[in-house]
Amino acid sequence: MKELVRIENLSKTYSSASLFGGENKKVLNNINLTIYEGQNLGLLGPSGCGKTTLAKIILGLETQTSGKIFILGKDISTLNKKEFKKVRAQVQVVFQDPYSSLDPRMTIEQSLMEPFIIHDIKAGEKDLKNLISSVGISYKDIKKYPHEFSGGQRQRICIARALALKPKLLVLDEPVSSLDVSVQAQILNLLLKVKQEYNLTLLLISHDFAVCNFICHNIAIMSKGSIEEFGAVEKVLKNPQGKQTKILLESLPKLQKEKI
Amino acid sequence: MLKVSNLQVSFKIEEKEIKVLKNLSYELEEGDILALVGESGSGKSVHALAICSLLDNNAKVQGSVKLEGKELLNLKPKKMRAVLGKKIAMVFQDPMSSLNPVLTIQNHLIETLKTHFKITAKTALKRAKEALKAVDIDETCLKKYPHQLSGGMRQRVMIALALCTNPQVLIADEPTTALDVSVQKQILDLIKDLQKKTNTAVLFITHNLAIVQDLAKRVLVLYAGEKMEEATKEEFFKNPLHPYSKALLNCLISISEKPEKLNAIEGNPPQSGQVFAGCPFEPRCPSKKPICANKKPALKEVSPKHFVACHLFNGEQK
Repeated sequence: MKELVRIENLSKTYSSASLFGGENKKVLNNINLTIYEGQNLGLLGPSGCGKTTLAKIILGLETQTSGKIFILGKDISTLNKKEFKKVRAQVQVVFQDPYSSLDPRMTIEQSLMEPFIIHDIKAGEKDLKNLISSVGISYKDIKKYPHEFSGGQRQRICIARALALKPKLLVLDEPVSSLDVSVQAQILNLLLKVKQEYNLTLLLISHDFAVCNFICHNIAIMSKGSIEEFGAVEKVLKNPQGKQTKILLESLPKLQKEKI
Repeated sequence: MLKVSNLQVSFKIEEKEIKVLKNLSYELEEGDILALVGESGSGKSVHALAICSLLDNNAKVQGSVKLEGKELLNLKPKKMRAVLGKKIAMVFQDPMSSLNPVLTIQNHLIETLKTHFKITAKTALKRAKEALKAVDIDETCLKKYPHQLSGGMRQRVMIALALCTNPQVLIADEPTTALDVSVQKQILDLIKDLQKKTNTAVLFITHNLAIVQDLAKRVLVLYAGEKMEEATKEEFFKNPLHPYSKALLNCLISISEKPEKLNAIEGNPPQSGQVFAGCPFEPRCPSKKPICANKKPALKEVSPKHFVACHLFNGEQK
């Protein structure tokens, strides 16, 4: 299997400087993790365990305190700006809240054109048409503004924007937790569909075991900045080892443990 | 105990009247836990605010809300204040913004207690300690400020605040949505536990049917401000009748199976204020008939205490 992302001994410490000394807070502690091509990975854990910070470092939105990240075989800390931009095009992201991740003053067309403009790629009507229809939004709605769409539709648009550059890895930070129940299933189905169409690998950040089970091949359970358990979803569900894993599984409401 | 009849709420926005809640009626008895299930825009939170007279001036509230036979909707603000917090208490979704950041936990509790009871500071402090103990929080937290507590702890403090006056009705508006699963379970267990001890009637507002199954005694499903179905929990999960209820249950995700595709409900939830001549779920309904688009189905009691508003069960056409 081909490696997509490899994380080696990664740590991150936030320090708050203040007049009276300040304190250091270690949010990631010696993380080792590999994401293989085509193998969707779920990053699971309670709030505050560092899963979003880890994703931000992979996206280059934060820098690690120590350790290395290789994306497509390249150590990203050694790259210059231009080289990093090239790698970054291969890693795209969809955030939790589709209300705050689209610019309210841009039409959908403008939002979808952004990635092409940033990376100097020519894109025409046909590209946009393909893009928008692959997430189930009609091309005639492209001149509309975000507020004219519902939450689920906005999340579809965010997914389309993330797909624009045909990335290899799509990072999804709690992509359905702010959506209505009746829409969540639609978006999860869509994610698996575009994974096939675009030959993607998904990195799903979630605190919901059921969602991870549906989307992912492997899961990593995080607790207090470290990875506590890693393995194939079926294996972990059948025979959980870590303390955090057991707590998360036991806390699921009965209906999410078994189907009626 | 709490009787809501024909409650209607509409907002006036730019000269347009937007109806968000249409003719909602139900009763809540002592010791009952009623789950109000709905998606965003279904009017479930607006309804809770309407009961408490907390809506803005541009809202028009019609109908009646009676607590122990006393009408609440036309009460003067001063009298309403004596009811809120003492007889009806509320826990909101976001514990971060529901507590005052410059007051300690002790201040919060004592303020509430002294507003509603004529008691000395000493007794108030004693009762504040008891209230915290009931939600499993250490006494040392009395001197702490909200920012020093975690999300789950803050929600516990909210519950302690709501229950320290022994209210008859507790309204909980998505109290666990902002929390993660393990904390969610603790909070739900706590509500269940305290409810058993105090026999308070609970109105639990949520969009998560998995929680409803764990907690509620009765279920009421709202869609676009209208009641779709009402039944006891056992009946609802065993024999859901409305296509919307069925579809909602169908799209629950569980860890016991890994399907290739989930059963989704097509389309999007209606926007608040959207007007429907017929059933509001008709555009998304898998078993719709021609009549559904033109005529509103009446609410019908199909079996004892099981109500459903759907043409499939109206007897006119089968």
